[in-house]
Amino acid sequence: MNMIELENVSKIFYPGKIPAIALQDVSLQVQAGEFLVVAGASGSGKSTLLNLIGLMDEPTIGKIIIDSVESNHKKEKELTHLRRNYLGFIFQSFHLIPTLTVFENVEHPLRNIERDIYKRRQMVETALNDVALLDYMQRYPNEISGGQQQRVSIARAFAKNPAIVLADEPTANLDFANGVSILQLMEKMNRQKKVTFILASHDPEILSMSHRQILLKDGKIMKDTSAKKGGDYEK
Amino acid sequence: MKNRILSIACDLFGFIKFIVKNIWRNRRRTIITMASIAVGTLTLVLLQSYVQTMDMGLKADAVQKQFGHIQIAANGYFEGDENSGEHMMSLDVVNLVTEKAMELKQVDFVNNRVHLTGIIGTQKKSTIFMGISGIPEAEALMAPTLLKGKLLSASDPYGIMIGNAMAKKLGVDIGESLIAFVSTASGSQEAISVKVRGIYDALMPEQEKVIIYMPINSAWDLMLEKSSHRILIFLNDPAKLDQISQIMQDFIQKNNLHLEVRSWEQLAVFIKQIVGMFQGMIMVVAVIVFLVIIFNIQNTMHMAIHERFREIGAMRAMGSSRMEIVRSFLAEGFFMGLFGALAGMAIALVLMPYINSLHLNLPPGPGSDKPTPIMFTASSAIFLHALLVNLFTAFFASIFPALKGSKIKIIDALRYV
Ligand SMILES: Nc1ncnc2c1ncn2[C@@H]1O[C@H](COP(=O)(O)OP(=O)(O)O)[C@@H](O)[C@H]1O
Ligand SMILES: [Mg+2]
Repeated sequence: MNMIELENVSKIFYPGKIPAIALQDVSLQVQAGEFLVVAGASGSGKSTLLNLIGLMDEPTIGKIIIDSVESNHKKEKELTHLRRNYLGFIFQSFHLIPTLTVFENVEHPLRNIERDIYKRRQMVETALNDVALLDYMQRYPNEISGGQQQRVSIARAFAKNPAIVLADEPTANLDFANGVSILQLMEKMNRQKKVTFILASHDPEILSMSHRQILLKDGKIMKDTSAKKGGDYEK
Repeated sequence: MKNRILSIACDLFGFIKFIVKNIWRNRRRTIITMASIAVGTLTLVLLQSYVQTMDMGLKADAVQKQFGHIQIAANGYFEGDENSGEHMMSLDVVNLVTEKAMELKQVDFVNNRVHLTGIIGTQKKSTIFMGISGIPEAEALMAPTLLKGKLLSASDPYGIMIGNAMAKKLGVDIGESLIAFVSTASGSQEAISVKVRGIYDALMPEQEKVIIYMPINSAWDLMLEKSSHRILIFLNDPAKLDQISQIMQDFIQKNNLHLEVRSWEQLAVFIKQIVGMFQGMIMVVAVIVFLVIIFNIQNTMHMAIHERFREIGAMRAMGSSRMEIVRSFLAEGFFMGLFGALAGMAIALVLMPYINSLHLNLPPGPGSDKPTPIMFTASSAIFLHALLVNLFTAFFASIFPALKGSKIKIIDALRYV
């Protein structure tokens, strides 16, 4: 079953007089539960692709279908609703809210999803347990390390049991050891929770992982390893 | 059910905690904003409490020294050229009404007055006077501040009270004699000899120069008839004003007396005008103060949104609605308004009794030669008003930035470094 489908998607930005083509005629299908790595150099369109799938932006041309629901021309309210219920995000610079504790950060996006505080507390604790941060739940983001902060944001993304989690360069702000452990954690979460996972990166460590990879170059898919096995594309 | 109420309570508590922490993120800026709100609240409370003192003072004075609570006069008197010879009440009528009023337990005392104008002076100097003549015992209760000598007394039917300014002008002192002349209704000139029994001190020098207080018998001697302009009724319970007015009205009707009843509020229109003028001045100050507050809050909110641009983007990406973003910024404005206003009110609560205890004075007001005391009379209505005005202002000032914050493009916010 396809969780995500892109049909001939192009995205053009108009930052000044000259339009910038960020994505060009991209078609893509991602299976439910799949772990997809979006590779490519800086400026190749990875973030743009994730933002479109994350319903934070609209394609200039083409269709995006999430769980058989076409997202084009939806009202802001419906998009908010879809993001709230379908999507989890992991950002390069974590984007934790500094005034909230670890617990509250994970709880914050759940407020509109689970109204019962006991059930919600249970969800938060399960998520924090999954990333091994239960002991840190009363700390504030500035009281824990970068790697721990990214683990909090993983817990935050997975806590609501979303259908899709999107991670844009999640290891770029971390050192090698932390990056590796974050990767392993994300793989584990993808396996355990059966969540469709899309990870954008130009980190060689990630690119060596044996998952389906697509390579973007100047907004076009240059290579998709789904046909073959393993991550054996050439640069 | 219990669970749901608990959940709502917890969410509300969590929300308020979140808002307060957000407000506190940039302490310096928040303190400046809340200080401006506190100053605004303080200004509003002080000005209104000051005007309240004035209002109450004017009203008390108007009742005690000028009008009584209820006045009764001949039909047309209140509308007409007040103190002319027409529209007078005969002594019989005055006595009838006075007796009726005195029967009522809510009535403290009753006076009746006749107003006359003429010339008063010594052999050497003279001046115009306006005489207020009433029952001496009642006039003693209504008298302005006595500077020298004694108040009017029934035992001294020709002892009068003149103003300090008039005494200076005529060069007379306590115990000295004066001659008073008036033209009577029939056109003749009458004169009597009176004695300065007391010298009073009034707020307005104009009043001191011309107004004299004299026993009603001496006025009757000058007028050659026994009649009165108005009956003044003083209540021991001002709250009963309407009730007593009605009783007197009914009595007048029943006895077919061609009289009219007025309350002091109907007569003392000038108080409304004076207080209204001051309130207009407060409005001007308030508008300026609140423009400053609005500017301050908008600025603070814009900066807060700017600083939290990426955070808002992340929250929106994860499913927070526009409404939630608007709500949280409006709440920030509201709480800044609340804390600022409470601080201003707390300062006012300490400051006002302190300033009152210092007995400070302002320079004399227009037409007066006495300094104006600085006294504050606070009331819960004034505090509540200031609180509501500030909350509304803070809330109102936050609407625009909050809407702006909610409309950011998520991808721009997330790309923003
Ligand atoms: N909001 C935007 N406005 C203008 N140009 C943009 C915007 N977002 C992305 N781009 C352009 O689109 C191209 C792809 O960018 P992006 O998706 O961020 O690449 P990546 O994430 O792979 O580094 C770049 O040339 C970038 O400059
Ligand atoms: Mg990128």
